[in-house]
Amino acid sequence: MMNARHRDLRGGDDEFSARIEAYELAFRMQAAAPALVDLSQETAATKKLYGVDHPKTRDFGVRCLLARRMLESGVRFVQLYSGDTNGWDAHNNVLTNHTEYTEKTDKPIAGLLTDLSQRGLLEDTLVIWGGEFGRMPMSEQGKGRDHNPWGFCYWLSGAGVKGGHVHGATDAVGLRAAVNKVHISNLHATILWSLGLDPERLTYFHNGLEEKLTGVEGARVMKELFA
Amino acid sequence: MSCSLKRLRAALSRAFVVAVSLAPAAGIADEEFGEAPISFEDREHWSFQPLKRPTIPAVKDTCWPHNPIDRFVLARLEAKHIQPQPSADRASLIRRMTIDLTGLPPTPAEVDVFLEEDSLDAYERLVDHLLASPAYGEHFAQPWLDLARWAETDGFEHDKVRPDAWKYRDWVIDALNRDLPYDQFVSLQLAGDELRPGDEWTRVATGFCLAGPDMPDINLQQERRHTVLNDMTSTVGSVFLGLQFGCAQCHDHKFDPISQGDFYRLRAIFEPAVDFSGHVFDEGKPKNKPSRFYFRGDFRHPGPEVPPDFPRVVNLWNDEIEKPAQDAISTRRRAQLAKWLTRPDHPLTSRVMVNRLWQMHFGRGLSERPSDLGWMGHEPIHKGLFDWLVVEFIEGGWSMKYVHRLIVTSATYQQASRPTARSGIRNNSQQGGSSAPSAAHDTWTQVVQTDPKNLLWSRFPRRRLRGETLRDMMLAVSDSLNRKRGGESVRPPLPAEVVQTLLRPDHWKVSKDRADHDSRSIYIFARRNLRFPMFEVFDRPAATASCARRSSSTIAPQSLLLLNSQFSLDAARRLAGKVMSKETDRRGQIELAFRRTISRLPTDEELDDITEFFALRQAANEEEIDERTLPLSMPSEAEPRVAAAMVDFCLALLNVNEFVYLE
Repeated sequence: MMNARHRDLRGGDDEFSARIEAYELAFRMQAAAPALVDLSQETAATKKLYGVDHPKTRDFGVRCLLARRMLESGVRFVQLYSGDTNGWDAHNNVLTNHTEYTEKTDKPIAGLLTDLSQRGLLEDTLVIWGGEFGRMPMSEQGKGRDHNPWGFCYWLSGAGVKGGHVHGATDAVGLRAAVNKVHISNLHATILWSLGLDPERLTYFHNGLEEKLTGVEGARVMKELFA
Repeated sequence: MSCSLKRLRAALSRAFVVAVSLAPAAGIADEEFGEAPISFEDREHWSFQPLKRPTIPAVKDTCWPHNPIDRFVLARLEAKHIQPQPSADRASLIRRMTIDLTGLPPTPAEVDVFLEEDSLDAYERLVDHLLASPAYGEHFAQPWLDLARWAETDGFEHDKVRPDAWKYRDWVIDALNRDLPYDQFVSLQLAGDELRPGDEWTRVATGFCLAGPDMPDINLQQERRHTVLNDMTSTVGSVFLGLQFGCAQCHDHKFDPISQGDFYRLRAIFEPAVDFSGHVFDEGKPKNKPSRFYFRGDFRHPGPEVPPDFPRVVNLWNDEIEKPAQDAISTRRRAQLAKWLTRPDHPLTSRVMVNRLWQMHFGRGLSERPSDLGWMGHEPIHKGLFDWLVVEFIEGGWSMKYVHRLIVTSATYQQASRPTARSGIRNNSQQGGSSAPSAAHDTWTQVVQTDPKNLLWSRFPRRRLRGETLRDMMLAVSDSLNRKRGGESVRPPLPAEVVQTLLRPDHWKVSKDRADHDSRSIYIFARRNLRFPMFEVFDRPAATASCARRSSSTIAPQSLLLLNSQFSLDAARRLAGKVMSKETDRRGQIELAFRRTISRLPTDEELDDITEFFALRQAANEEEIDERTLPLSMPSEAEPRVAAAMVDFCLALLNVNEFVYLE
């Protein structure tokens, strides 16, 4: 009431209205959050499906389960992290590192995909798995692997993406993308397109230019990935 | 039109040279790079024009102006048939000025004294008092630290602490409080070590150049040095010259007459000084390593040697950098840069800073992009006012406080930021008070329609306060602010979820002394990889690059933080405790809370609402009251339900727009 009166005495101001709205939105989020993060409503079977019942998979399992609950309550973008700071950064020993992190995440991810699918959520949810680079095929410090920006993989699921389809390949040693190479801008364009946005027309004004998210050189939507 | 044609022509000639210089050059150090000469048209741009004192325009209404600023503003308003807003009421003025100049709200007692003072010079005395307060430097240091992309860690993965970085922060605060003339302020930050050899405190000033991010563990130290030098050159160019030099590290600037050669010649001024032994300069024996041009800005593609030199387009006097004497202890290149930049007839240095000073008070500069007075920036509407202020600045001995004073004592600055009864009466003087509010709104509506973006300064522009200021104000109104000045930075506790995102939990070691947790925001440890949440949510920049103007977003996380954080709750509990121990009856408590937070008394309408709120809260709270929601140090006889409601009420006051905005 104070805010509304304050605004009206100033002849109205969109910014003040926006701030009042932000409080309303904050209240709605705050009111919804306790129920959203309350996993006690989930059955033992569901928890098992996500690996919440096992110490190794509990942490990432809870994140995946929260993701499903968020999607169900209308959250439009969910980002899940594994290995919060430098978890997967296997400079010292790639075998121990990746074994540990794949064990922590494999089952929860399978659980999430299964659950989204059985609830009919996977049809219009695009699931993206990946990082900002892969690892080198040659060694670093003996058993470690350095960053590889030239050839690495992503996988997509849901939102009409073809199942069991492999696009492209690296050279024989896994150093560089070699067959059907996908520039990261093409991946971005494909994601935008899948969300119903035209990457050619979606721009933002920056440094005196209407800039596209997919760069100036043009990016291709890879429709062949979709069924 | 002719102007843009000239620009186009100049830009095209540059484009041609770009094409030439992109010829393959990998590893061929002696390959020439092409460079267009500076043309007459290049120097025609408004910000490169020589400074001269403009004529103060004539105005019809000679009563309104306080000083020449107002005559420039009023002349434009009169041409558009807009009446400037009358002065804000005195309570608003003391609030506006105290927060604007010190980052802290006036106490109720200070407001009372100011309201009772009748003398004409009370306002001016208040200005002097505030400018002399140590809080002034603590407040204005932050925008400078934003420009300096200053933080106390390296950034990148390891984000290592720079144990002495706080000294530069203290140097800035101290320099501002002593009103160190801006020409010296600039010179010492570029070349303090050369200008005052052996003076440790002055050497700290050069921390400006090395305050940016750095990656000590990068594989190639050659790349590290290249990155740091390019960042330094870009920052010096944008902060002191107000030109986007960074664009020219890979290619000639696409719009401004800054060639890639200009960039690397400016960089050459700094090259002898960078050795990474600390985050201040200490040139020692000049190194004879030649400086080079780098094709495409790539450290693996060095080009020809380049001599250190000033950017040509603004070197109107063809000044040159002299070679050091045989026995010199440093090259004195930076000292010569400082001398060149602070020539009284330099067209950019003073313009850039006056524009920043104006922005500090009005939220927007006279030219809207304060670190870009080039072709992509905004030509000021008020060129006369701009140049008048710049000439005053230089003739006033480059005193920043002098410019602050000119600005805040102007009628332009003192205008109301909203419709007032008086603005109605001005318009409709015969109709008396009763119709004033609606008439006030009509006048206001007309002003807003004619000058919707307030480009002509037809009213005081409200602005949201920065997160650092909000935190200081919340501590101040609850009598909790620790006024200890300077020294090593402090680390108040943070939520565990936030600390977990750090590489190592010990990256945020909470300060042992509890009193340190309530220090002013400027003293909170600035970790590049973890912005303090309350500052980050209110748009504190990332300190990865120089920031000349923060964005001002309105997002729900701000509301969540201001309403729910432990910090907010504690401030509300302390404020509630204060008002309950100082005043016995409810109304007195409510009034005191109002006066402390928003510098005024509640209206009758508001009192009714608040009374109703207390009644509802008392009726609703059937269960046991959690003592963590009760005021801190409240009188023992206080009824817990009322006390808890008082905390909620205080929390609401710390969240209202009237608290969060400067009006």
